[in-house]
Amino acid sequence: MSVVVQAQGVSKHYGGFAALKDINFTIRKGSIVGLIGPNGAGKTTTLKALLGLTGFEGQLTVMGQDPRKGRHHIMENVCFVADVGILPRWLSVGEALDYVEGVHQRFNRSKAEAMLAETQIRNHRQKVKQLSKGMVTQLHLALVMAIDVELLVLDEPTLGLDILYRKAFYDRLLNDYFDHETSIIISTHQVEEIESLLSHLLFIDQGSIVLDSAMDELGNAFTEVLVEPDQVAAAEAQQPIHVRDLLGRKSMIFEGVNLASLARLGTLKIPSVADLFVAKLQKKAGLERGRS
Amino acid sequence: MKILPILLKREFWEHRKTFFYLPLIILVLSVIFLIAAVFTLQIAGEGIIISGSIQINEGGPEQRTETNEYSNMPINALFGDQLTQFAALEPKQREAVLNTAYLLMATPLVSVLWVVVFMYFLTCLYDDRKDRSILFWKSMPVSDAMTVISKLLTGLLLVPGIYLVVMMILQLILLLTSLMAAVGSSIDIWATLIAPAQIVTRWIQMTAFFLFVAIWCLPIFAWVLFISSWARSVPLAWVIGIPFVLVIIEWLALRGELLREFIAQHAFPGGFFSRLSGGIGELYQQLLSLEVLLSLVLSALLLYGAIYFRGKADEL
Repeated sequence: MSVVVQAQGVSKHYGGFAALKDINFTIRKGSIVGLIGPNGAGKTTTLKALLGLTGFEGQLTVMGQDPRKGRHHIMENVCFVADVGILPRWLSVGEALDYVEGVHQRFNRSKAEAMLAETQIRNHRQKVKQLSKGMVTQLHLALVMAIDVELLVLDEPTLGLDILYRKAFYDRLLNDYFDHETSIIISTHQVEEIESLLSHLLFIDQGSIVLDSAMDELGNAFTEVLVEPDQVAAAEAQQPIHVRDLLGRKSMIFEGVNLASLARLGTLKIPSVADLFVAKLQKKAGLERGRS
Repeated sequence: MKILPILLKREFWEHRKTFFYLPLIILVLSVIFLIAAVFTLQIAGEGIIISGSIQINEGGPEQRTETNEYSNMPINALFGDQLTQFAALEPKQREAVLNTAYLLMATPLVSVLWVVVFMYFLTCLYDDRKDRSILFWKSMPVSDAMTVISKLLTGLLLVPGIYLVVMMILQLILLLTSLMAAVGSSIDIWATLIAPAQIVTRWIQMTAFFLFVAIWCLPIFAWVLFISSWARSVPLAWVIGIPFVLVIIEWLALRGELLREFIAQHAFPGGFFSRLSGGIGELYQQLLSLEVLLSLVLSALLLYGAIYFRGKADEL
């Protein structure tokens, strides 16, 4: 699979504050990558760096190009949707269609209009300021999904939307848009909603990548065990990265521990992304506490 | 360059109120003013409201002066009983009265245009950073240079072009109104009202004047664009504050006034109405002067700076 985005030693400082610390990752063609981290972890900074919207140190290529040189060339092959607030409030639906049609060669107007026809947006003379948050997102998504690009970047695309819109948003993304030729990178802190969508996971915390794994390899590296009460001591000896109480029993997550040795301890399963996220971040916080 | 038309349209959409509806409102108000002038003077000329005007004069001395000033307006010379007096003037005098009348119709539009263009340049690279929509504009394959150029051309050519067309329509309405008002009178309409108005020459001169002003004021507008792109807050304060401090420093350190004079000369187009009387040829000489060439170099540097900071720009 060919590489769409390659980051090597990318750092970003705002004054004395390090927003990104020497991060490395690769995004391959046809993958759906979840960039997951708490607020302020560096998700938006990472995405802005690869879109050429902010400067950085280190090496970063997007389809072979340096985003710092010629953002507008990269945007011919990349689309970007941020949280609901970025469409200008004075723009009307019809003007938005006209504009994107005018500046983007890969925009398919009839496709965008067909998608808009399925939303609550009826009147093309309506301005963005007259639309609800959910409708603005629908409009932006209809514009973007009608552009045939190689990489789609979504930065907290469903922030502030209610559950119905969020669900519809991701269904539409997967069913109508994703075709294995495109790559998608989604940043969010609402892990559960996109878990089933993803083919690759990137956890980011305090400017560092703390996990970089394909979804189908998670089971090889991580195991969650619902530990039998009499096995707790034996399980703790295997150094779980995360322990929580579950209905009076202990559930532990192990990293890189042999499956056979865990099978004796209790019921095995692959941890959910949300649990893994908590485990990785707490472990990191614990390490830092230990150091200081 | 292929995308330039859509970028200009985008600017027009955003600023429809000041680019289109505002000149339209001024047009309507001017026409109302014109019609009011025609009716008062036409009817007064027939001697019907003479008693009425006496009543007005009885209202007090203030109102009398108002009426007097009103009847001294050059536009009034074209209507009612003043028309016969106007027709009796020397041809040169007639031309002068008509020139003032036609310029008067354009004056409100020119004054408003300067404010509209200044405010447009001040906000066009700042507001979208403030409301975060820059993230949308920058997600499109439009280069920063193209963005800045489209905004420059909007303020320099598109907006003045729209106002120019409205001015022409207004002057045409003045001409037609004066012709209609003269119907039935014994004066020679062509020699009195049409020929000395020189409407076509006037329009060519106005267009040339606008283009000249675009070049003449370019360093000031480029400065405003640069600040709009660079400032992280209160662009108006920077636009005025920085030159103000520099002028004071120049005065204190060198007892010089070069910068102050340069700004006073190039900030406003107003002084150039008078230069038009010397003919268009004189303007071309002005364009080739060292001062204008140097100000073009300065403008180019400022525009380069505006493009550079647009490239760095992020939401505020």
